[in-house]
Amino acid sequence: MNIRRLVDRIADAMAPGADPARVEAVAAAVLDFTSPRSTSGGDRILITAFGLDRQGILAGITNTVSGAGCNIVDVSQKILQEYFTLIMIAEIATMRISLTELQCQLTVAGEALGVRVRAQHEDLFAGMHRP
Amino acid sequence: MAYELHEVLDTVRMTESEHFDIRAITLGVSLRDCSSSLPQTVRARAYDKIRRVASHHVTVAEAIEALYGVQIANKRVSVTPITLVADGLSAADFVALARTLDTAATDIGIDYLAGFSALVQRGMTRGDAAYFDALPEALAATRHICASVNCGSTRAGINADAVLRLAKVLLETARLTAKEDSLGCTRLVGFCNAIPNNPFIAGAFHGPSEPEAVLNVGISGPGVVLRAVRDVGLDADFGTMCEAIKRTAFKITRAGALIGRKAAARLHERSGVPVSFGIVDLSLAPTPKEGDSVGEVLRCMGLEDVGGAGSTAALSMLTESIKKGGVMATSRVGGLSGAFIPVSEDPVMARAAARGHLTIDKLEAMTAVCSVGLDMIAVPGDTPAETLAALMLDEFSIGMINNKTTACRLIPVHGKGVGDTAAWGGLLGTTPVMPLKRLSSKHFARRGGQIPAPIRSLTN
Repeated sequence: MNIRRLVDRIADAMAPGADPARVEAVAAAVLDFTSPRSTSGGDRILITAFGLDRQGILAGITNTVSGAGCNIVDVSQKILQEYFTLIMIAEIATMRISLTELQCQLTVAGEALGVRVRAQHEDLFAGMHRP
Repeated sequence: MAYELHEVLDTVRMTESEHFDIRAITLGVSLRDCSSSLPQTVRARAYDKIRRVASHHVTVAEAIEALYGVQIANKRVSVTPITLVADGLSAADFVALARTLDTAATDIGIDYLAGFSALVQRGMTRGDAAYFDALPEALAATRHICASVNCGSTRAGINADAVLRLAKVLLETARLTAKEDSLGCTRLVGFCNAIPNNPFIAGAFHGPSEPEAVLNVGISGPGVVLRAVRDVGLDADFGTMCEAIKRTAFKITRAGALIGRKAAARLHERSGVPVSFGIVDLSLAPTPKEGDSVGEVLRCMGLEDVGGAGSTAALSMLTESIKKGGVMATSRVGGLSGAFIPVSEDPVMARAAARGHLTIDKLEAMTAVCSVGLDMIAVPGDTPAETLAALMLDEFSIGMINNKTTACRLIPVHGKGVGDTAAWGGLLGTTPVMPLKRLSSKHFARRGGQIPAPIRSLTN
């Protein structure tokens, strides 16, 4: 991912509420590729979002996930033609609300942004695709 | 990123749009410690035991659904075959016990409670006879209770007396539940080679050698397999097609095993009763939902319709490929494992039956390679008991000789005949009443006694 473009994109998406500290926090979360941790730890979720691309999707979802107290450890987004795809991995050990509540909040946030958002425990993906 | 984009999309697509779900999460509960010579004591003990072990079953399953975003269609409980627990009871006591179990099922919020069962492949006790007398009323008076009777096995042969008796029970149950298109019969199944860890309704029971409480998972996913078959296209050869099904079965089995392990551990935590994870049953189970059909998978393999030449071969490849993919995914594969062909529950099959493409004879052939047998088939309500019995003898013979489980869930729809439709709603679906040959099997079925075990039984 082009870092310059990413930062610009986050700043655009958060405007007018973008301040350097918030943009940095989101960018840091996005760029935290350093330690894709054990896939069997049992405390991470995968958040996926799909829909037509528009401004503010990444920021909106990141705000919701961070606001719930989750630690975002990895983010990947792709835009194919006009379709937006986001995959985010977050630790839920420090989450302040239940997973069901987070799922509700993400659904609401997704509806406002025109994307479908799902949050599922990582073990499902690890089970299906890893030995 | 720890996962490739296509992997994540693959899983999300399965759970989101291809109807991949866990069909059944079934908690087996031993009632062996609930016996008593006093009927009211049996009832009280059974109720208390089910409440103690299974009261968190539904909430745990719902939490697991949310955690993984995988729907669990049915939450069920199976119990020790009831005749082993209550052998001294009278028919009236068996009916009362069925009502108590039904209340327990309602109170803990499950969909079905199975194991109102008898194992009579070699013969009947007095308790078994009382059980048969009680069955029609027990089914008519309850909503959640599922009954099954194991009438034969490769080792024992087939108890033809029990089969004829079961046929009569079917007709009586159909009459008592006539207002709902003989719905009671949808909760009654006859078996050959019944297995003790089947999570699927109506034939589930908690086998006598099972532990105190065990959680078995039945996965579903015809929609997922349909997509795999569609993706390889019509030009791919059989080997390529089977490989695609195997890969898909691997993934959904992994998901099923994960969910089973987690649910068992949580249930143990919540109830304080040791709950072990039993098995994943890999049976593909269709539903009336669009795109969730085993029949559609067979059509997608290249058949004009289910029932056409090639249907048995297509089903055999499907069953085998699912098993092969599944056994690579977990060592906990068990139950029936294959593909179900319940006519009313599969809209493509029901339609094929309505068009005359799928006949009972072809279905019988297909049951030699599917995971169970003649399932959810509506037949005319005026079918003689002897014809039903003989049809079951045919089906059970396939199981006995081939050392596989076969079953019959036939619904002789009271007051209806060929040209009519039976509609049960929900997952049970809608189906035309299928024609049977009007040839008499009266003298054959009335011979009774035991069909001797085949040479294959002598394996030691």
